Amino acid sequence: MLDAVLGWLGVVLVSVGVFFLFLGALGIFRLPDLFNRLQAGTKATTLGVVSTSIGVGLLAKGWLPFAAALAIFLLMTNPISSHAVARASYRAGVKPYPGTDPDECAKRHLTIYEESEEK
Amino acid sequence: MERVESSKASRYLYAVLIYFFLWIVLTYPFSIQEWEAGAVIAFLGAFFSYRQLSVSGVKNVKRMGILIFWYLPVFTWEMIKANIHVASIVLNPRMPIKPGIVKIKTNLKSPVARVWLANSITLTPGTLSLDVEDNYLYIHWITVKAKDVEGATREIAGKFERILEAMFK
Amino acid sequence: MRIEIPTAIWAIWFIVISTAMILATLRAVIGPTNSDRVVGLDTWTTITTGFWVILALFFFQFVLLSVAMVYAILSFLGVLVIARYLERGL
Repeated sequence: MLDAVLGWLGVVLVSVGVFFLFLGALGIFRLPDLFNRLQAGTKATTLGVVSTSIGVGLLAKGWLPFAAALAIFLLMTNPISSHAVARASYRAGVKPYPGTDPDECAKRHLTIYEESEEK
Repeated sequence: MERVESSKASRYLYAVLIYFFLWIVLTYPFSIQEWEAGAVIAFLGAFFSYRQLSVSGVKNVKRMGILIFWYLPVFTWEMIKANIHVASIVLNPRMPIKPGIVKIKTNLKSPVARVWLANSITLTPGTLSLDVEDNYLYIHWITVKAKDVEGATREIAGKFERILEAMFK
Repeated sequence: MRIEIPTAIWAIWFIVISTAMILATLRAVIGPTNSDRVVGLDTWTTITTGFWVILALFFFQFVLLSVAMVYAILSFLGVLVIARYLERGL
């Protein structure tokens, strides 16, 4: 009985995870500029992979500790890598989508470039 | 940035605890031989790397209590909301977005607390942390609700900043 | 495994996750700038980690879960290095 309940809970979690991984990829494909793409990509795929690994941990006996460790690792590192990509591409001169308003970052990077040219 | 270090013994003990716990989780089918080898390796590894691992040592164990019982429920709920938000945007044929990059102010002092704040912001609805400068964070927001610094701070960071202040006090 | 998973469910999981990988690859191929390609790659590696986890359950091998862990660590480091390269060159 307990096995059946945990097993079907695992199936539901893996299905939700796979669906959100798909949504992340679809967001990457459809959204108009880099930062919006990164938003969809990070959030949806992080929940997707975390939910998938917890579901697999529930489905197979004794896999839960390792699967939870994998989930925690992904939860901590995925936002960091997306932040690194976002910052690097902003500094490398990728322009946001034209409708972006306000753009507080633009003024700031302008001053940084002027300072570095003076030196 | 202020940087209050704990004693070396406390930091060393914390490193040993963390490494031993990781070892137990990663070599899952439990056996006593694995644990012996793990203890030796945890003590040796901690000797080489406790300076880099933590600043405040065993005090972190108390923080983990707050982390699990206060931060985690709030964070899980926010993350589910964030994903429903993303799904509603991506699956909508017209894609209702109104992006903007806003500036928010943070009162957190320690670098670790700021990393936690930036990560939390990235995984909550519609926001992505873009850059850091002194006390300000630059946030890319997919549907802008407030353009000024105070409004954006209240809207984005308010919930997590209280928890993280209690955690990294 | 705790329960027998019907074949139809396996099929749906594999088809959906393969479609996701193809979409992310397309973004990495057509992306207008190099940064867009990196975003596609980042998403692709995360999806692939999820794929390894499901594969571990399909073959019922615990080792493949460790493969997923190593894959996650290496892809994180790889994306960080590429981001650093974008910012100021290697």
